[in-house]
Amino acid sequence: MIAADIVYLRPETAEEAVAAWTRHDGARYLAGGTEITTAARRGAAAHDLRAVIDIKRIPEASIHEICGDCFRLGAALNLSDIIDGEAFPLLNAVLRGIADHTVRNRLSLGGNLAGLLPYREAVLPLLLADASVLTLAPGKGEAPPVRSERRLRDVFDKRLLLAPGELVLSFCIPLDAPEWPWSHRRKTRTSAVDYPLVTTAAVRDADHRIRFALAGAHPFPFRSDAVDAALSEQGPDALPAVLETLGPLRDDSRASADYRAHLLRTMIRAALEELA
Amino acid sequence: MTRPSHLGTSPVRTDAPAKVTGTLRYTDDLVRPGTLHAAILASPHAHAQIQSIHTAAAAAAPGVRAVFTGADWPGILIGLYLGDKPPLARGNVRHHGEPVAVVVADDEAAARHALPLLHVAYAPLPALGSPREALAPGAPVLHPGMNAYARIPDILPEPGTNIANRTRIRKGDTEQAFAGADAVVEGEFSFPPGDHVALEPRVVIAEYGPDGRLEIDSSTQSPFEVRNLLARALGLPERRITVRAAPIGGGFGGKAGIMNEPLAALLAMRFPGRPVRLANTREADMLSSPGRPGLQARVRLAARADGTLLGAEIEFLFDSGGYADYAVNVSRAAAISCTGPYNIPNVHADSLCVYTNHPFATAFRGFGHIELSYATERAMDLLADRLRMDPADLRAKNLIRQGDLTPTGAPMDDNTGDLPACLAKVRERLRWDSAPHRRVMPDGTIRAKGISCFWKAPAIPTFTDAGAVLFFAEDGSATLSTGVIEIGQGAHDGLRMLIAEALKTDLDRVRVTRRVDTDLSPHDWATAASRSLFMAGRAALDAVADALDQIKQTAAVPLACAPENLDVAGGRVFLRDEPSRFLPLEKVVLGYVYPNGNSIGGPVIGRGRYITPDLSSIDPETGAGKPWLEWTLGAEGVEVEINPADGAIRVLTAACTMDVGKVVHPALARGQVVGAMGMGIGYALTEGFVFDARQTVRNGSLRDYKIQRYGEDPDYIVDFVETPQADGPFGLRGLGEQGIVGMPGCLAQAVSLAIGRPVTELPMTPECIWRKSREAAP
Repeated sequence: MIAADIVYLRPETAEEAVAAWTRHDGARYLAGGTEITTAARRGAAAHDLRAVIDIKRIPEASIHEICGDCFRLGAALNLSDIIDGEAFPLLNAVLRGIADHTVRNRLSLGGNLAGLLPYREAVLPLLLADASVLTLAPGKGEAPPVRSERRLRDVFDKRLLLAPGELVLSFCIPLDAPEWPWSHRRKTRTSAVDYPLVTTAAVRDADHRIRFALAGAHPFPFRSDAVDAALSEQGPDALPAVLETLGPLRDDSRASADYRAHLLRTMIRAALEELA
Repeated sequence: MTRPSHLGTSPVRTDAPAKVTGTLRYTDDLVRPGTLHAAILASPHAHAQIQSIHTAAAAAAPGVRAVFTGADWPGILIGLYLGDKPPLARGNVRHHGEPVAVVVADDEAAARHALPLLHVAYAPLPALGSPREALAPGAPVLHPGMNAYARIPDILPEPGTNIANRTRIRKGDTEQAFAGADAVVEGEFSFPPGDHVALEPRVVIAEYGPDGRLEIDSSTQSPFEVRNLLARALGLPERRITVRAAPIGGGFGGKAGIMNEPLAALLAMRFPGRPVRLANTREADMLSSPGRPGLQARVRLAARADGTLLGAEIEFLFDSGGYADYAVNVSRAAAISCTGPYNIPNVHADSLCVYTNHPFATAFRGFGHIELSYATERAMDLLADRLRMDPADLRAKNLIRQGDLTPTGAPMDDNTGDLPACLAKVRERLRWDSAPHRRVMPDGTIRAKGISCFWKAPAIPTFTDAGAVLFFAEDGSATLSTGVIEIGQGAHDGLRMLIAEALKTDLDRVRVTRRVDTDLSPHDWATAASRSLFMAGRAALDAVADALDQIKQTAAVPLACAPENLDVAGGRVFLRDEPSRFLPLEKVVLGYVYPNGNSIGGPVIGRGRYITPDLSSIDPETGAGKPWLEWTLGAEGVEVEINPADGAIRVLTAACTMDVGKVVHPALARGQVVGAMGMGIGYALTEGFVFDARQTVRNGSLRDYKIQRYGEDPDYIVDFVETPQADGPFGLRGLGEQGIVGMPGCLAQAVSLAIGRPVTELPMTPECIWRKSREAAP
């Protein structure tokens, strides 16, 4: 039970949504709602939950189509819908690792990337594919809202870097990315339906270079050019240097840092073999 | 007139339509108009002094009627066997999640909304994280007032320490046995406390009437025990208390002991005429209400070179958490059965229930036996390794048989099940003797098998009772009323089959009342200890016999014969020698009416009763006595697959064979055993609380506490052996819990074999297996 009165708004356009955010102090955008409702139930929301703006009725946030040399996925799409679309095998593999089928029917793509949980595994394939992200941010003062499409890697550093009230509408993925050989591995403490101790995703791109990203090992997802270069050029020999680059790993009630490091080594080696 | 027996058939359970359509009414579906709602504030600390609680802001919140703290009921202590628990913490909190204050409001939202407005100042105290820490010299004594606590005579606390109970077993001469042994092994084994994770969180609705009567609706396994507990805790006589129990969504022992009834009753007494509802959130169900105990065990075994067991020295330290509840009797039950199902002539055992600063513990499926079995089975494996014997052969050599003496010195009687047959069947199912126990597969994974034996006897009062009343409707059908709660186990369906069998009638002419009400239902100890079909079954058969006598008495007059010449079958009462002279039951069960309107007889009401015969308490110094009623014996085995690279584990096959005397409903029986085995796999591989250094629980929600899921199941193979239990209805004995008991033992054996290192701790998560496999070989 959420023991609070909450304003619920369901705009039809992105502009209405952003305008609503400007009008309602403390409002949050809502798609699947799993994180907002569970946090509110525990009384653990980052700030008082006063208003939610449901973006599921906004057509451009539920888009699922090819436009030019990329395909576009709406931020409000639920994970099951994306999996059923079969557009991007690596993305599907990653999404299938998240929660269970029933919960994936609720979880949204944008929510997984922009949520407070530190895993954000859905971002891994998008970072590897060098996708872009389309957002709408409130304008300054009386100015109209600002629409911008940016390279995801430029606005994702540990988390999605958004301005206050900035609404994520969709992601655009280059059409050739799904063609690349890929690898996905995921390890949990016990049950497969759990947060990852380590998730790795990797591709061999059109230039035969390795692109590598991981989640779970740190309190944030991670991809870096330095790691990609080391793995592309030295293969498994780069492991000590890569682990050095990755720095201290998480140590929590699910697993020790030691075990995560061991898993990570095993998983990177396996990914490289798979892509060799 | 011969008819096929109902026993051994698997009719669809009577509650299936309601359960699969979501229309079964559980306790929380009974909310009445005018109900007030309570919400609990739980301690974030495992051990702390409460310095102050500021309630004014919460009390002033919209919709709030009142806020209460421990100071509101300064004299009240609650406990089934040992009265050690205040309804809300007083002075100190003793575990993470302990209720410290409660808000009562017009609706649940208002009550929960007010919780953050309560301000509690705590001074944290050093927290005890294990029984051994709690027994160490200088450890803080968590219950300094223990001396004054009310208790039953069978529980032996040691005031001035953290020992809530010590049960001793002294059988034979262990010193001599160990001195003369060819092999002695010793091991320490442990696991943390955890939760039952029943699907339905606990809920209670209490109302105190202007007539001074207390009415309770609760998701309880033991309404009569609740009435008794409330009477003692609140000083109200039983005649002023009614407890009603709807079917519950899983109990597993967690709904047998202290729950929220006393607190809800106290709240209701502050608002006469208003029902007060106290419903646990999942998190409160895991931390504020009791879970299952943890264990630290030390087992030494002495044997001859050929594997014959000579002696055992056993120490069980049960982690009871902040309060004792049923855990005191769990520790006692574990002592009574401490050796597992093996004939050991010399036994020295101390089984202790120890207070720590963990969430408090109560009964859990297996009641002491899953815990003791894990420890003794691990020790048996150490012995098999030492003697280089096949672990199944070592067990086979020492299996307990009729005439052998149990740890309490009483002999296994004529009803002893055929454990050798159970073990042989599991060996066959696992291809134990025809395929290697450990194989490295082409992909590098390792497959390994493990095997264990188990026993379980109900740990019950010597005067455990069951009542049954059988009455009839106009259509001649029979209704059975008992005190047995439907907790998912299907006992009502089993009872229905027993009645139909005894009345020689169709199943659809018998029903069992679903709700239990202490004002309407005959007395019954509790729905626990795998005893319902046995004891309530005995009472039900007694009620059938009584009803048949009355039917024959009435029918004999119009049929112009002696009652003893009549028989009842197929919905008729008829002359045994001349079945064409009969009356349909509907013309008899409410009295017989002559054509002219004269009538005789009156409603038939069958009365049945049962009480455990010949049980005794055990001697406090030696444990000698006969506290057990019947033993269910069995064997279990598994094959697991382990990836040595990261410790990942999968259970491929799990087999169980147990001697249940008589299988009444094969599908339900299999369901109980498979459910128990699955729970045992979770117990051994994934479950258990994770604590930080201050003993707060890190995984107190289902986000983090992982139980088995559908899809993670192995291939289950369940077989039954039927050696009749002479005093059981139609020869049956209990089977509800037993399938869990041997699982941790055989899983630990399989994992140990796979990695070549003896596992000593649960749960065996992949990380633990990986870490263990990197230790130096023994």
